Amino acid sequence: MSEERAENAEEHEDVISEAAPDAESEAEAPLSLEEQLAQARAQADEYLDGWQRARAELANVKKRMERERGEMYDRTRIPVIARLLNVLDDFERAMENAPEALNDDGWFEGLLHVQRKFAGWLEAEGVTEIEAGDHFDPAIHEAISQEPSDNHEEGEIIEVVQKGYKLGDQVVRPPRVRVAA
Amino acid sequence: MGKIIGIDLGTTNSVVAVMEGGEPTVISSAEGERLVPSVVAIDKKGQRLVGRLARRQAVTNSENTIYSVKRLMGRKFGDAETKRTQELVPYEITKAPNGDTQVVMDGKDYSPPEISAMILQKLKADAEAYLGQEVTQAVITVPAYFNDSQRQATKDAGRIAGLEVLRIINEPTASSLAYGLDKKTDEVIAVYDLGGGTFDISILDVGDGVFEVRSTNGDTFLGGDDFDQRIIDYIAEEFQQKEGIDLRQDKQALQRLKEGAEQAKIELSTVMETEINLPYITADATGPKHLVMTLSRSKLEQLVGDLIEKSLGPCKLALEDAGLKASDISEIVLVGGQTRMPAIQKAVEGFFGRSPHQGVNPDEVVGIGAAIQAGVLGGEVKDILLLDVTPLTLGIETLGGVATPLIERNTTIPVSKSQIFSTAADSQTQVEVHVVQGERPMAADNKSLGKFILDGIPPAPRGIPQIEVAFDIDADGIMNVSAQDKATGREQKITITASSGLAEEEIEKMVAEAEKHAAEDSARKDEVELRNAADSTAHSAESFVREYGEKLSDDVKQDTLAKAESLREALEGSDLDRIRTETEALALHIQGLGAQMYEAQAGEVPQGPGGPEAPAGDDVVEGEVVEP
Repeated sequence: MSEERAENAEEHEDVISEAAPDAESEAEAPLSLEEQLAQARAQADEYLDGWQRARAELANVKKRMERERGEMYDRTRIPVIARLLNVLDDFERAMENAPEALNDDGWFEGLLHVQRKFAGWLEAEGVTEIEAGDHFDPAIHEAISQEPSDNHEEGEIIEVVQKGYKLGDQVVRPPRVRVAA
Repeated sequence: MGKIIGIDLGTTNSVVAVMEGGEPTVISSAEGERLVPSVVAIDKKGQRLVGRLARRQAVTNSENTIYSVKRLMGRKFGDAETKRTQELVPYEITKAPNGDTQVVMDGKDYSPPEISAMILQKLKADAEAYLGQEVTQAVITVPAYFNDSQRQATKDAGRIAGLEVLRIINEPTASSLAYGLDKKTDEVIAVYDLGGGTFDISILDVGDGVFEVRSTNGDTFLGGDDFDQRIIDYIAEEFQQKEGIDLRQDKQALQRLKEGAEQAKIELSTVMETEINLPYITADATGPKHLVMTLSRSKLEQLVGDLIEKSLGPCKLALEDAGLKASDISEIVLVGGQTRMPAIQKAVEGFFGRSPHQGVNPDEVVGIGAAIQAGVLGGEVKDILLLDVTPLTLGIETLGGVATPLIERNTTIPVSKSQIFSTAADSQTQVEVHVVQGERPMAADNKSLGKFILDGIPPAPRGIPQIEVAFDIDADGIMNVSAQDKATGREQKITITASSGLAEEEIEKMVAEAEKHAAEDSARKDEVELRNAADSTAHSAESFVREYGEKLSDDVKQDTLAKAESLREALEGSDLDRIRTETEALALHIQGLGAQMYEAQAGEVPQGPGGPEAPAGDDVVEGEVVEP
């Protein structure tokens, strides 16, 4: 492996810059005034063109930034919301696993209120649950397993193991599902 | 002529970038990600999926989901790498009639370039969506050890995707470009690239913008994924000991384990200890079970220590092949997300005896380098257009020894900035402009670049004269600082040549110093500003009494002057609270008097010296005055 590598490496050097238009012309006879003027004019044109293009690019980048500004706000929030959702997952797991006996317990009731409050916060932030539907679609879901199932057709979702959420149109995290083989 | 894009076509992930405004920019995919998984699939409906979507359905369709196809590019079926890949992947790898490797997807044969072309097509489409224009040309990177047929295969992939591949450059070259190392002459660079699934070490010579690969080595099956696996196994085994359940058998639990492990790994790059907290990870007859464990950085380093060691072997071999010692290496570049780990940085630094370049996102550095090369080919990176930045903040010294910034560090040059300042004392006829460079709030802690005096300022109450101080830096870094009295037009200036010889390390040191002293510097500056305000207020009170003496009763005059006297006395001491309270009280007091005067003399509008605020003018900065 090492020899093969060595051979290949030696043959493939990288030359970064284009050949620089350097002072080769100094070796030639001095140019007439007309020629110098023509050269200077050509260069001036080139510089003006470059300047105009730079201005235009700046303007276009600014425009794009304006368009993206709204998106950017959401984009920076999304990772934070995603991490918060992990905690929400755990909270929901806890609630699902609550012992029957606690159903009438006042303390447990308080937790239900907390759960609702969390849901309310999500709604207020514009975070909505992604409806999973019945059939697996990679544009929407992420499959964590494929399993044989007597009750399901091939490609049907057996279970949503982690809810998916979106913020506006952007996916915060896709629903994670088990898919029937 | 459209834009030329730069593409890092990676084994696990790919990146596309482009030069914009002279800067390389990584382009996000349609899915909003800067790293696109190098995965292609054909789903049950016959639909082709590329990138994130292909990855999402991988487990449901493993035979028709092709990943890590880069391992097969340009390879013959009999190659060792092909065989090894065949053992590890769930999709079928077969032999083409000409002996090349090919893969089977949805019952059809595909050459690796055809699969790579699908990835390139997606990157092309994402770039076009971002740029709003068609893209037909690209620069694509390949490992330095790729042979002719592998490079040709990559070019073919580009062609199939509708891209004219203007240049194939080596990945270590690209990452060196991203750090501007093409400007170096006669230096030797080591590029340590630890990606998701592969490790590569390359030794390059650079001179006159030409990079030559002296040697390469690596381990094609060593990467960040292996590090994750160590953590997963450790947690799972600990849990199994306690609870008797192997979480790795439960797909759902395993998924959470994987995420928890990766999250912990990332956190331990910045903190010494983290908690892996996975409640309700599973359940048995006795009820729900939780996985809660602390993982320390030292434990993590123990778990992966041998993997890090493993990466140093190829480094040694690469040096030997190049006939060099570690001390001959003058620059080290880190590539690949896994190199964010402190233990790796330390190991690399220990091995080569110097610290590696950091600062460019290690996941994106190759793509960025490709974009820079693309920019050079497209004429966007002419030498005359390469712009520098001011490495440190530039400003002048103002009342109280404060360093007032005019040009922030990292401002691209050429640039011009000006600001209006005024005098600190009544009848002050000259100002000294002291130019300083650095990040500390107090001028004395910064570097003095030069000073000059502007005189001939007509006597006036303090705060009245308008002195415009202008900084102008040209593309060569030559700075002209001028001060002009707006009233007389008198001007004085100095020229300061670029502060050459400020090495990157020195600059970093100065920035670090500033951060270290930030709290105390901030307190000092606050104190100075407080004292300035106090002095100003006391002065205002005294001026007020002088000006409106006839309209005020003796009692009021005495009271006001006494308050001013008390404040001046407080200024001599160090009781800042007293200074603050008395300043506020005195200011309110004067305002109160002024209001009374208005009520009493409705019709007469008193013209004041302006009190503690500076005279009107958008550019005038409150309270900023220049010492005589």
